[in-house]
Amino acid sequence: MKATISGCKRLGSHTVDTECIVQKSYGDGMMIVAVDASKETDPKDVEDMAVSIINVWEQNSVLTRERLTECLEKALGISRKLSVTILILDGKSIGIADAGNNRLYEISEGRIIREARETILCRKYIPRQDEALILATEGFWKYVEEQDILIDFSKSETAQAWISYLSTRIGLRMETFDDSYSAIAVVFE
Amino acid sequence: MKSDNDSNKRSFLDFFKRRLGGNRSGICHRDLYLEISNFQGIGRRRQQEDSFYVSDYNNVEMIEERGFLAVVADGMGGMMNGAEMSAVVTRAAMEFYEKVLPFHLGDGTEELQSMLSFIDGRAKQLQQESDEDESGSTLLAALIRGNRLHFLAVGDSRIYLLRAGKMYQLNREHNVKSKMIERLAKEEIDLESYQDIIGKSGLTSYIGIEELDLYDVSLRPLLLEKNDILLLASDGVFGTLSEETMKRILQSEAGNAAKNMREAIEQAANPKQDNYTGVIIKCK
Repeated sequence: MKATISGCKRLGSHTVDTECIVQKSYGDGMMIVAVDASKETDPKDVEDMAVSIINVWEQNSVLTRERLTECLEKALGISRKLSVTILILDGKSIGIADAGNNRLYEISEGRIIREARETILCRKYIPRQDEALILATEGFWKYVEEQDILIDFSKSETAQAWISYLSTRIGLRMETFDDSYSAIAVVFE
Repeated sequence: MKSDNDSNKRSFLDFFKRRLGGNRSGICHRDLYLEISNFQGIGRRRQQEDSFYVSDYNNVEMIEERGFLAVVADGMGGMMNGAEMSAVVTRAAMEFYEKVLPFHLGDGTEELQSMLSFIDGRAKQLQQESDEDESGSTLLAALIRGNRLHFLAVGDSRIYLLRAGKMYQLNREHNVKSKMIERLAKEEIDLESYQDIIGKSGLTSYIGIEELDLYDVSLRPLLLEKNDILLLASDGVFGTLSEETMKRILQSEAGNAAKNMREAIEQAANPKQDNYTGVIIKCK
């Protein structure tokens, strides 16, 4: 599973950082965890949540709904005032566990699919060239439409280029530049 | 290629009635018809420095082999030879489409990148011949094969896609504002620095620039759908008409969209009205 991966993070005018996206590769696969917590949350707790999810996963990294449920419950056990998305790719399957307000988009065959929210799912997924995923917190997706994501993907050879195009769009649409946002993109080669 | 005539609605493209096939995604095949129209005006300028080209849609074989090509170029008024440069750009696009493209048929992206090099070569030639290396032009190109759109953009003209009632800009503008926004988004500069610079005008890329390494090109096609509308426009269009106004005109079934765009620009009576040019492609 060859892919380029790139992320972006903007704190805006926020003084505390309560968003976190962590990506970890293992073998032929990868795990991505996105946490977007309420502004009252201790920033350290946010990072701890992401790390604890990864730790739970690494104890037994077999992709099943049960394992995803365990990981998600670990996060929600720390705080329910958060949005959390767990994405696991092992080259043959995709696993998604989502609670809250993040969004995961999948691009395939020139079309965009927004993955179901508030869900736990596992399905067969063998990534091919010109397929891609993007996982974004609310501060990111509220400024870009699905068509924008598709248009900018059409121009992007790498995940880094894709994120750069989208970040420029967001900048042009922000009026006060106050918002924080995070996103991570995976473009399969 | 360059015209100040009244809006000119083109006839229906019968040759696009062919069924669109070969889609490896298995998405339902559909018939797609393209209706092409254009508008252009001088505005308050002394001369027309915009130029456009649309491939000969009466040549069925050529369209089926190469696709349909539309090009808009906006010569840079602040530079010498703006009019000549935009004419060179569209003439080179036409030459490429008619004489070079048949020998370089590829996936759409390759052709557009080859065309860009070809056009840039012609532009450099003009600069050498006229001993004027400051001349420049923007470039927009849309190449449509079946339901697959490939596009190319250099400078600050815009390609819009109107889909399901919303306007989407396909290209990033290559100007100082866009560059600074990008740096602000990456938090490479702060808001204060951004506001100091943002008032400054200027393109960061255009046809005629010494090193043409900044441009937008689709590496994968966008799939067009019925009722999609494409607008290729110079800044004299979107500098005067809001996106809301353009959308309303393009969506309206009343009359001729190109004629209505031209009338809306003239009625706006912008005292600094720039040259304006638009090519409208309606998918039906």
